[in-house]
Amino acid sequence: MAENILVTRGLTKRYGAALAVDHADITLPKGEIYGLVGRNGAGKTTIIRMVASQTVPTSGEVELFGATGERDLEKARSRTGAMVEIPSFYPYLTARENLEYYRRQRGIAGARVVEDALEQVGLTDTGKKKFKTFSLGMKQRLGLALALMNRPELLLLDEPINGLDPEGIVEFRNLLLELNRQYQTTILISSHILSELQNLATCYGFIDKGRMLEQLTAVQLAEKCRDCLELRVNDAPRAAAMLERELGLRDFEILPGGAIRLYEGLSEPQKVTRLLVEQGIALSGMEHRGANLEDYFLSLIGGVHHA
Amino acid sequence: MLKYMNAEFYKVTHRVYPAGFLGVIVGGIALIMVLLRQNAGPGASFDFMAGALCMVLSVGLYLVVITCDMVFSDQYKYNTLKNEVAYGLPRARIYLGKLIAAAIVSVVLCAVILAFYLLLARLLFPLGAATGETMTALGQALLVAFPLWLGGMGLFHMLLFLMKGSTAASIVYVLVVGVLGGGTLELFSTFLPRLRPVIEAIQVCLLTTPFDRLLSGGPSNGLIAYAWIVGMAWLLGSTALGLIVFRKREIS
Repeated sequence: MAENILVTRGLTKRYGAALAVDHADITLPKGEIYGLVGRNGAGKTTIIRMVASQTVPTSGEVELFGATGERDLEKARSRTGAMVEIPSFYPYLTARENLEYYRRQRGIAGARVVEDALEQVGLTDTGKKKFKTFSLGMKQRLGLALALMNRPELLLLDEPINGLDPEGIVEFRNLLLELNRQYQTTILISSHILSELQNLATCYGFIDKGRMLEQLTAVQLAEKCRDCLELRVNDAPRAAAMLERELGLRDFEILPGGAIRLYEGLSEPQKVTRLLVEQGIALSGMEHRGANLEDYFLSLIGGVHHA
Repeated sequence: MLKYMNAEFYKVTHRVYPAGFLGVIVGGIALIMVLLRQNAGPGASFDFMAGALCMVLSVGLYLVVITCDMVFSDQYKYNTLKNEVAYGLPRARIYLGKLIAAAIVSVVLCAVILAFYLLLARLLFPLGAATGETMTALGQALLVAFPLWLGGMGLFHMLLFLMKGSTAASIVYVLVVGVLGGGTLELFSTFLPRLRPVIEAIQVCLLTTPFDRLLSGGPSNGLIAYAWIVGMAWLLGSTALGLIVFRKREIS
């Protein structure tokens, strides 16, 4: 059984009357890249902030590397790297000085660590430029450098690609994949850019209005998002049996409510309709469906909402 | 804790702030002393200048606002505390590490300023008849002032951690230290004579009261002991309260 790096149980955060996170249960096994998907204000950042000790949960528990008590959690957090919201540094210090400050504070051995971290994120040539003059993309890179400086076993990243240019996004993605592949770094990442998340994540958690709606692996998501032909018929079991016997189609599922999802024979839908009509099965609708992460998320929360 | 403080010293020494602060103070002292020298009568001496220093030691209560701010560095404005708590640094270490670093920075800056003042006074003014006694009195006055500065530092440090901005913390600090100790309570007791015993009890605990007694009666062992009790009570009380509240504080 895979070792769990992060487990949250009934994690809840209330701000006055507003419930920001409502009993969120997350399980993140070692070596996985967990994509946290949700709208603005869904509770993604609050969950990450509770894991990163920036906010105290109203109730529930965080378990990191098997540790749960406050003191043990503090120790466990030294094995993590975090970038939550916009990276924050001292504006009057340079990139090197800022990282050197945190290196000393954290007791990370070897001054070379700072150079390595800057090199990893492509910020070696910032020289004497103060943080206050950095572009948003440079700030994001420096935030990532800080998160990586201690070679974390768990990376907590909240909207990390905001402000990065297209080239930066690709580099960032490759860097995360490399860290994950080479060092088995476990990653919890939230992002609005779902297409980007789909390029990275090996498992997903869907959150809406503070509630965790569903957790599934990338394989399960791919399964659910497969191209299919959805048929709405009056007798689904008989129609399915017919399709199997007459057309040799076996890859389908019968949904509650009398619909059939057919995953093969998609190029010749007319054969399917002809067969059903010939066999006296009433076909009230037929739709070609295929979904990506975005479609799946929207279907999960019941469509597009406007704040 | 040592690593934490090492980092704080690194940050402070890479800012223009301490050098700028020191430059302004030292420049101000030099200017005042040169003007005094030019306009001084025959009685002006090093002893007089050293004695005058005892009269202005309460200014240190306000200078701690600057030295604490140097170390705290607008943590809430720049949101840098999140980098520390996310890494699992215990909040008590963050709080105490910055407090101790601020105390050390203050002591170093204070030593430099005092040394400069005395050195310049020695260069510009002749020694008086009782230099030894004056220096002893100055030493005793510093023993009165030091714990009170620490008490003020503890209070301001707590306000920095508990309030949203340095400006608000400074205003509250000046209200507590300056206004309460500046005769406001006397005014209250005039209008509310029934509350006089309570007001007197409060006055005994104020950080400014030992300074008032230093001005009126000069330094003594009794005053030194009293100043240490008041200063340490403020330091320990405010630090305990600050630690309790900061433990659960939201870091946004």
